[in-house]
Amino acid sequence: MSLSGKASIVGVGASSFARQPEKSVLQLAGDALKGALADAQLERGAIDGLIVQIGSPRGADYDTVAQAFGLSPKFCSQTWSHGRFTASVLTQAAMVVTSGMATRVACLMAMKNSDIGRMGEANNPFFYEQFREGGGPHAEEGHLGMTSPVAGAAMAFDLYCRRYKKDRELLAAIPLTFRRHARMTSDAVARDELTEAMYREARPIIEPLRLYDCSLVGDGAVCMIVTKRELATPAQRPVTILGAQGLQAGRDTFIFAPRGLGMWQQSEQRLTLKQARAQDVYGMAGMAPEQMDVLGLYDSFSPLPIYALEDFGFCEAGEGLDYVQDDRLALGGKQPANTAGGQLSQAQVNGWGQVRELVTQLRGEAGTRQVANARSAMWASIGGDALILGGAGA
Amino acid sequence: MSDDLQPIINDLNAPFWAGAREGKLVLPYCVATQRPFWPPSPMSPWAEHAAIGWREAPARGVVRAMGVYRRVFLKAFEPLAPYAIALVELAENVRLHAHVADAHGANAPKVGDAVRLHFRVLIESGQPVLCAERVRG
Repeated sequence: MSLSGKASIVGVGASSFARQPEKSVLQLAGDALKGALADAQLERGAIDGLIVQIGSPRGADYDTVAQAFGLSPKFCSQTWSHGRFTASVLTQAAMVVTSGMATRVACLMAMKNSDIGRMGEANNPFFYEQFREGGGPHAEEGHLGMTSPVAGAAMAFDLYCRRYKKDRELLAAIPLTFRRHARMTSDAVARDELTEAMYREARPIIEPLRLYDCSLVGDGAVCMIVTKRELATPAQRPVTILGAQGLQAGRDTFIFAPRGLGMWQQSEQRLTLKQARAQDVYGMAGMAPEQMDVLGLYDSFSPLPIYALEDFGFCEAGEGLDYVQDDRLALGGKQPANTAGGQLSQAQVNGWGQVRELVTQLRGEAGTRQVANARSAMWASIGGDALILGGAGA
Repeated sequence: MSDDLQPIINDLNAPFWAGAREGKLVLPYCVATQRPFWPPSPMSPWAEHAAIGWREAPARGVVRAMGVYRRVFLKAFEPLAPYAIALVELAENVRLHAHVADAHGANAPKVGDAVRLHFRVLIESGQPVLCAERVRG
């Protein structure tokens, strides 16, 4: 049985994304949950499933969340404590409501970083991951001095630019475009003008990546409520999951690289355009890349959207940096993406900000950012995590 | 745990670190396909039911990519900045991360350069770890 068209997002809520070191992460989570319940016109007793994307140590685990908010879910789940599992969580919720294991699932991403050190530093709870056997989650090898997720992202981008003989300055299109979108977004964290000169002159973090290539890790929470499509009411302005696929793994995957072109000994066998256009998410939805009116792309670092566009068949492998020039991803461009600013400028909330924006776009509620006649939207993350969403009439 | 910024050494990876102390690059390989691989695993990435062995590999390779640390995240490594981490490809298609000292110096390897891998102690009371230097001439 296909999952396509069976489940809908019926409520969305978010906290403020400003740095709030004095707050509890439960306050952020509460703001998002209350917002999602109000948006769905539901009371908390209606929630009988809970999936938490990011738990302790930066967030609250599923049991703490249920206890704090007086929820009594009969289905709970939780994914790992870093990013990416956005589509996986929403897909699991869709499977749960479709199979009848629960009726309404609250999907929650809540985390707080402003009271801990930066990732890579000693006073961060993920310090020890960098020394684990086989390398850290972002290929860190702390004993070499290879700490922080930025390192793997920088090295993979260097490998990409060498392989395709591309000028790294082409990358400016990504942070500049998303910043322009954030300037139109009231809850975006980074709303100051960002010029190409500022981008080029910003301090390097780990070359070839610079300050504005890195998302600003902060505080925030987003909650979405998923139910069976037939239970959704028109007042809930449901957005339906038409296609989904999970995260892929293996020796040819790396968290910050296109398939085949990551750290350690990957094959350098990239997906062909035909293979990329045959990713499962398209098959489930019965749709193709050019049918997507608006995109959400995982962008904890600015090269990542380039790779997602290639691995999901918007362009050939190696053509992504050229593809995003001439404002293609900008509002008013041919393929608007991250229209609220993405992780680079709106907020680093693991991509939940982008999926929330896609829901807003498909409901026609994006105000000055609205993409005209947005009917189909896609969330795409390198590594596979992807969704195709449809608005009313989908 | 690694409060002393040291790698975790256990039965799975001990031959690598024993080799490092002797200045030798020792890698796991799949006995069936004769292919070395990294990181260590108790199963061959390629062949079913294949035994895993360890053998010395030629400590030479080519730099495929680099990241240069302009911001240092751990105090112990501050005196070494700007250093780089290189992705070094060995002849047998294994790629390893290696520390590159003085990344902006005239003698530092660049992407595409042939390098020699060696083991060096980087921080006080540390293990010898993998470093890369340019092959001259």
